[in-house]
Amino acid sequence: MNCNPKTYAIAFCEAAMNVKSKSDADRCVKNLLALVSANRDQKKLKDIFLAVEKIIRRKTGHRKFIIESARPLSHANEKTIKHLIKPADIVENKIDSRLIAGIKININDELQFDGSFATKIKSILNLPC
Amino acid sequence: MSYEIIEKLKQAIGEYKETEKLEEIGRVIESGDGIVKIYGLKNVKSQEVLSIETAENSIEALALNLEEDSVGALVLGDHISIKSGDIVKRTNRLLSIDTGKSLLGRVVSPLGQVLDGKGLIFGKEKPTQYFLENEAPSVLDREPVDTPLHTGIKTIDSMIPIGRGQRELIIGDRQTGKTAITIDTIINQHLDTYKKTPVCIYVAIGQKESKIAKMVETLKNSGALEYTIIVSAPASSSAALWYLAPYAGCAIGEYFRDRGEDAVVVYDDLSKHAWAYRQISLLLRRPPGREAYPGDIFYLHSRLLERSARLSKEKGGGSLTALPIVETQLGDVTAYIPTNIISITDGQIYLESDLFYQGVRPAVSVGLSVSRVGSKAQTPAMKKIAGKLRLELAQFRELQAFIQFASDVDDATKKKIKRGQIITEVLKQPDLDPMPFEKQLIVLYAVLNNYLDEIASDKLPAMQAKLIENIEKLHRADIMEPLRKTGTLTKEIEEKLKSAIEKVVAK
Repeated sequence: MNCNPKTYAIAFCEAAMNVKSKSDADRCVKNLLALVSANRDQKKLKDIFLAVEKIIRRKTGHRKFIIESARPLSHANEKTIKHLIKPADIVENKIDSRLIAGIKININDELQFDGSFATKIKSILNLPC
Repeated sequence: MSYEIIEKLKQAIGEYKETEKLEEIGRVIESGDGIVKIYGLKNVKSQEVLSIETAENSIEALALNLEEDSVGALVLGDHISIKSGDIVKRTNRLLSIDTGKSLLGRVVSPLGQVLDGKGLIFGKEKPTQYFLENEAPSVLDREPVDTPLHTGIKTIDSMIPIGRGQRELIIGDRQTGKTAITIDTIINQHLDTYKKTPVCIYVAIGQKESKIAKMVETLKNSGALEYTIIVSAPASSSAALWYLAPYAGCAIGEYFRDRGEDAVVVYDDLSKHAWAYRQISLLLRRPPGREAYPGDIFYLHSRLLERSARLSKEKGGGSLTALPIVETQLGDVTAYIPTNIISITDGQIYLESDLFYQGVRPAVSVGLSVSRVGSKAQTPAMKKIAGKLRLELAQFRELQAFIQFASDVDDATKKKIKRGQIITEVLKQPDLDPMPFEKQLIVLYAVLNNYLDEIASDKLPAMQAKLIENIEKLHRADIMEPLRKTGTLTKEIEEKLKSAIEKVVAK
């Protein structure tokens, strides 16, 4: 059977909606993996998980924030960012010293705010000199 | 030097404007052979430039396949450093090239990068951006082709004339002199006095860099480089650059066309362009069709060649002439790409290997070559003189085939064959030696009016040179200049020409 990642993801999400217990949920995941391997579509797994994540986020309306900074955020910065985030949103903090300073916010892996010093320097050095 | 760098950096920092905003991003999920598959970027446009942020630097890519959840893009730089998971940003700009008069005499890549090591192209002049993919002028914006584009090649200017705004295909096997015709045409443009010298753009697709360097040197030595621009996508470059090169050349041509100037663009060659597009399409997993080319291979070339046009006076009256080249395999003009391009263009110049090896150079096959619109643009004098040339040559070829089997040939036939041999000999022309059209007129007038019938074949080149030299020296004002200026052969000029030829031949 030739299926694309999105088809797998839709089918899995619909099956998972009717699950009542944790063991049922585990069985559902196992069955998905068995089906993918039977169809020799293991290469598509990454895309399938991305599609599943996207469907769940769309259904629940929850957003996933990844906040990257060079150092742990100060209390004042955290307070400013909190205004943007709803209580149900998932927030992940990452420390990446390559940013040098500033902040990078990734929303749902679809939108990005890049206020890092590293990017600023890059854009200055890319200017025609 | 370091002071200058510091000053420039200080200026750049001072002028830096904060542009942080929420940007739409995607992620690379697959990368290989210059193609990337990106997850996300649902609002991206076709032909939009994307920026792939790798660990080392950012690399540009061109969005080609817009699918429901993913985008297939063509990497425009080094694809080795791209990894799965890299972030891809939109740039909100369609692929374009910087154009301007400063490009004249330069060698650039299809993305506008300098390849000749002569430094920045646009110093004081502000460049104008032209989209690589642009719409062709509409019917109302066009005018009929009515101005000749002299190639300096006797066979072509007399029998297969090309007009400014025309699309004339040059087709033939490898090593038959296809590129040589286009180089002669470029060189001849500055010999064509009293006519606006067109800007020439030579697009080299998948050629050896040594060949491109040699060609640049040839153009430079003949004084043609100053009005020529070379767009180079050499053999060592990626399929992406091979694919984009003709569009870049066309965009540069359009810049001049839209400013009321004439431009000629040579695509050398479109067979390799089709191969590059086939490679890209197969890697993008587009369904293959005949000879594994994608379904839109015809559109690939038709949308490129339709941009060549003669614009109306309201639009500035500029023109863009296209001279695409197609390489055939073993003389097969019925292959997929040759037939496609033959049907798109306004005629073709067919070069035959057999003629080439017989020493007939340029090896133009008069029977298979045609110009569908150029005859309307032919100079009146040339039309008058060379009108019967094609017919005489055709008769000669027919007789030549016939006498192979005949043992006894009458005098009239012998005479016709002799004349055919003389005409063929006169039409021979060495490489890189284009002849201005007024000189062609003199030679053709002499041969077609039987003045050269008694001269031995091996003495014909010397006689041609003598004839031209004599008339140039003694009749510059009363024959050469009026012909050059008006392009008409009046009775008065004809009489003078007759007596001048008679005198030279009698000597």
